[in-house]
Amino acid sequence: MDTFDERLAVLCGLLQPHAEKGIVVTAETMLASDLGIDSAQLMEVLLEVEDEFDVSIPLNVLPNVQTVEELMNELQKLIAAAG
Amino acid sequence: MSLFSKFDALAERRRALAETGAKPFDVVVERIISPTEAIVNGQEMIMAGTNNYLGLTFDPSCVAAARDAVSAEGTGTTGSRMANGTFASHIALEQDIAEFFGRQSAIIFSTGYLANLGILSALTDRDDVIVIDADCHASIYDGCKMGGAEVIRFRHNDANDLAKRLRRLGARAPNALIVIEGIYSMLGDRAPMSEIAAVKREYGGYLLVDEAHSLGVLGERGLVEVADEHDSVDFITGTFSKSLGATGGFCVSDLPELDLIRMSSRPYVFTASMCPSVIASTRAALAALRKRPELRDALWRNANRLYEHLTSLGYELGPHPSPVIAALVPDIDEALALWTGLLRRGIYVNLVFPPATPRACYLLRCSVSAAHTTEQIDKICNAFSDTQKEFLSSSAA
Repeated sequence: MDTFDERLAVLCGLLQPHAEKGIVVTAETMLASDLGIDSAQLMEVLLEVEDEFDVSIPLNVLPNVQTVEELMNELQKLIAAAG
Repeated sequence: MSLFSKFDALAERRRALAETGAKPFDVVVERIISPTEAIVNGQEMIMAGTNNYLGLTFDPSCVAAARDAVSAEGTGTTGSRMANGTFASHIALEQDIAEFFGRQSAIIFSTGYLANLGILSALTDRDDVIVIDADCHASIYDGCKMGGAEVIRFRHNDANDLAKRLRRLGARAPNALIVIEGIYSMLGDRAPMSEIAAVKREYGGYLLVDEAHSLGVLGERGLVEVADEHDSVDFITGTFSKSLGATGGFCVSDLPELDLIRMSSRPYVFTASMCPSVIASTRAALAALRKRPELRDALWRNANRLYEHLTSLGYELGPHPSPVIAALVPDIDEALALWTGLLRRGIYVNLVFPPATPRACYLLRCSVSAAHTTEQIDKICNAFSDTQKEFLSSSAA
């Protein structure tokens, strides 16, 4: 699981169970509106994401993250920084 | 897109709530009678959602101290300590609080919210990292945001998850600030203090404990005292507005740098300081807390009695008895029916909505006081029983 696309597929798989019925999670999926979960629920989902990629996502980056792809971009930076 | 578009969703939620007939945000206490009784909507009410843990708001020594101070020093300070000057009573309260906690120094703030905002925002900046329990109070989140530090959450009360976060920080961990609370305000559960202190000792870092809901409740001083972790904790914050029945907040520490924070904390510098009457009642309440351990005994008797009863009714509560006793209700219709049913029976509790609650549940949040009589606690218990029966029979119909 080293490439962006491989990690993105894992991320989409983690988010899929939380999506509203009929929504297929892709890179373009909007985290707030398309997943149909509130901000508190999203924070819970992010704990799972952090465990999967073994990184901690600072709260500070979240205001700039709207789509799954933007979240993946932040994860990529954190994974790279962790070495 | 207007300036007010951001409120559209909130307005819709409020409108939908109004349609149910329940008005949990419109409760007006028309007359306060005692620490545990008031007139609300023309009806005599037992107040079971006040955080008035030791019941000291009407304590004669506190009232007399406040009255004397307002006569002697006037109604307010009319400005901040940095600009308008420090009153001798500000210093006296800081000395009282530092001595009470056995710490080198203290800073007092105008509210408990400002204490967390003032300490966290001044202590940290964009080069720092703060690791906070996910269920921390809004004042902690806001203080972190104001300082601009990198903010990382760990799973609520999970010392292993904290350890994982500190491990990921690597060389930054010894300079990280860890923030937890003694008792968490929503479910009344307490932090696993010794486990968290052990993680801190392993990875390094500084530890701040907010004792807002645990001061005077767990031992005299809060969780740090009862867990015997004085030396593991670098900063303790808290409020005078709960067990001390006044308003204001504080931070104590043995670190000499605490006094420098005073000079650089905007929520300290740019707001009016505590007024003399509030300082006086706070000092009297602190003395009462120390002299009268029977208040804490009464508080816990009441807390255990209500917790046991709500458990017997089958409600999901926090993990152990506490003066904050919250029943988790998954459904809004049930939560509103129970809250209005209790109000009709003369019992006021807090109704708390997601996202301020854990697990997206609704909370019927009670707080118990030492001043509640056994008879009042039994009335609260009976009201819960009757309201639950009423709801179940109406749901079945």
